[in-house]
Amino acid sequence: MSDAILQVRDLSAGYDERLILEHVSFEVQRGEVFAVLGGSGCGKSTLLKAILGLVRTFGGEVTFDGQDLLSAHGRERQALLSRLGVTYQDGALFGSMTLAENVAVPLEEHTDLSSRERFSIAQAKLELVGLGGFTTFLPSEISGGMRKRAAIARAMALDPPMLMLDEPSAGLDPVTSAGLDRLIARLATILGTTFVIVTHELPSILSIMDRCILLDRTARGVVEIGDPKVMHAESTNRIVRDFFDRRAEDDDLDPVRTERTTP
Amino acid sequence: MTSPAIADVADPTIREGSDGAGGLLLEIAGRLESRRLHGIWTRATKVLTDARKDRVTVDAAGVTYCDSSGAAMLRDLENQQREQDGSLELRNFPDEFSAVLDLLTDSEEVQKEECPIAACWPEMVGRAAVTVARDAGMLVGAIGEIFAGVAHAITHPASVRWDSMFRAAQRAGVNSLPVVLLVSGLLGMILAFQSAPILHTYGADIVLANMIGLSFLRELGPLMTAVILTARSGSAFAAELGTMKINEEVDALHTMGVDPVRFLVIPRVLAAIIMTPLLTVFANLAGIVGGFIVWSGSLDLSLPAYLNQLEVALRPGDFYTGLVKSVVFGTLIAGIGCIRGMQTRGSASAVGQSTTSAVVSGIVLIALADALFTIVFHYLEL
Repeated sequence: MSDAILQVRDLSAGYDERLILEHVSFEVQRGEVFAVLGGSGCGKSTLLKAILGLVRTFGGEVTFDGQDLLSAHGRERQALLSRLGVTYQDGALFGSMTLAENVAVPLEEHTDLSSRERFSIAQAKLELVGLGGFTTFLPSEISGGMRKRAAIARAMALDPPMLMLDEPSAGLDPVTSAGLDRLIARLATILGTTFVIVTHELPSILSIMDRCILLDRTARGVVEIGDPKVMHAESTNRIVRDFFDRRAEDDDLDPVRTERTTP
Repeated sequence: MTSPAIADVADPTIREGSDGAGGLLLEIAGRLESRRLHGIWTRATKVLTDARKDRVTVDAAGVTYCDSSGAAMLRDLENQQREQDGSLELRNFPDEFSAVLDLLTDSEEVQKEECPIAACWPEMVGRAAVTVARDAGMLVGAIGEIFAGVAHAITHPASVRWDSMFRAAQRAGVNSLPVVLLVSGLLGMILAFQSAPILHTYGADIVLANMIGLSFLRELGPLMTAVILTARSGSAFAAELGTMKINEEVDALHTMGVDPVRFLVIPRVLAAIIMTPLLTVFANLAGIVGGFIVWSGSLDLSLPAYLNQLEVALRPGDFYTGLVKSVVFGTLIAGIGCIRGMQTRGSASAVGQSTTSAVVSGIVLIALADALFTIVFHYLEL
């Protein structure tokens, strides 16, 4: 039986009058680690923002935990969004607040906890992402990878059933990136958190993602949905093959470069 | 391990009792999740503080759900008990959630941190004094660097980025002209309007022209122009350079082997040095015209009489001292704006702080410089 926590049906979205995504449909099951894949400019981040209602949608439906996310307004929408944790590409931490204060913001807004209790929870969340010793640091005082982990801690502040991460490993070294993958896998297994992750990091995709959706700029939508390992091994779709084989669109025209880059 | 809708479940409960051996027994039941912890956490803290028992047992058999915030609460209770030199034992915690507790236990070893406490006032005064002293030292160094840069620009005009200088001159100078004219004109009218009745009482109506002319040429013209430019252009310089700093554009200049002071600061300072005296001349004119409007409207005196009185009252020295002041004020405004911008560290909020700091420091330095000029001109009889 389907236990979908997120259902996207026929969603079209873009900026101003420019359509980036057309008729995108997919479901994310509860507890799943789901990846949104595709090359640069194919609309991965736009899809995430469209689901959250942050960019213009030209039709379609987004259902989160049985409730329509796009048509919700006011308090209903706030309540729904508070049950979703979101991180952005650069972390989007508040620069004037310490890491603990950043993590405590959702707790302050959505719970009655005292400041001491909020600090305890914020410290615990930061420890979960390996930043226990940095509670009093400002975002500007830590590295990019640490900022991304702190953003995950903030997104987890209210223990939401679903976390949406926009390129969490982009710009990170392989070791830090692998650590982040392990963290996501642990949280998914132990806390049962559902993850929707925008990424194009192949090692992450193949190691921790249960299912994925591949978007394409030319198609303005979904090329294929499925288990990334199966897609990697068996798909005959050219766009899927190009993505997993790390092949550029014009590689066929440049045999010398293909020879040099192919191991 | 899913979380049901918030309204569907009741808050967790806590019951206190004895463990039968002199210790305290706390029975916790229900869903331990972030949104429902407040009541139970506060209650448990109060019970632990009031009871002050060496041994506390928490029976968690009734717990039906526990997220990482719930685990944080249980750990906090254990820490509180440890701080009272006691122990806390967690019993019958459901196996299905024990992994959540392990998540926190397995996290990196860190020293327990206290909730930050606000500094007491002597510490704050001390820190502020140290900051001001450091800032003053740094300011002196930076102003020296700017003066050296300006001197180099004067002796080596080819090294100046003149296109940047003209752009800055247009934004800081030409675009400021309407507001300078408006404020100075209104100030001239206000000054004349407030003084006219008093002067009239003593039959000294004619002296109004002397007062307006001298006030504006020696003091108000340069000062009002400087204050307007500080608010309008000094802050803009700080924001521009601050944003460039946090976007690592200044670092990029360094790595390209380009001196950021020559590239970014000198054109702006030169623009301010040229435009501030020019704006001051317009401010003087606007103030004098504002005074004349009251002169003719309220005192019913003629334009020739006003001009004749100004000619008698004013010396060339009054005009030149005002211009000398305005050159120094312009250097200070642009210099402080650029210095605060270049000092920006961190994030977007730091740009706001730099901008505020540029305006505050600029106005304070202008007031100090003006006081110094007044004393010097007095002894030089200028």
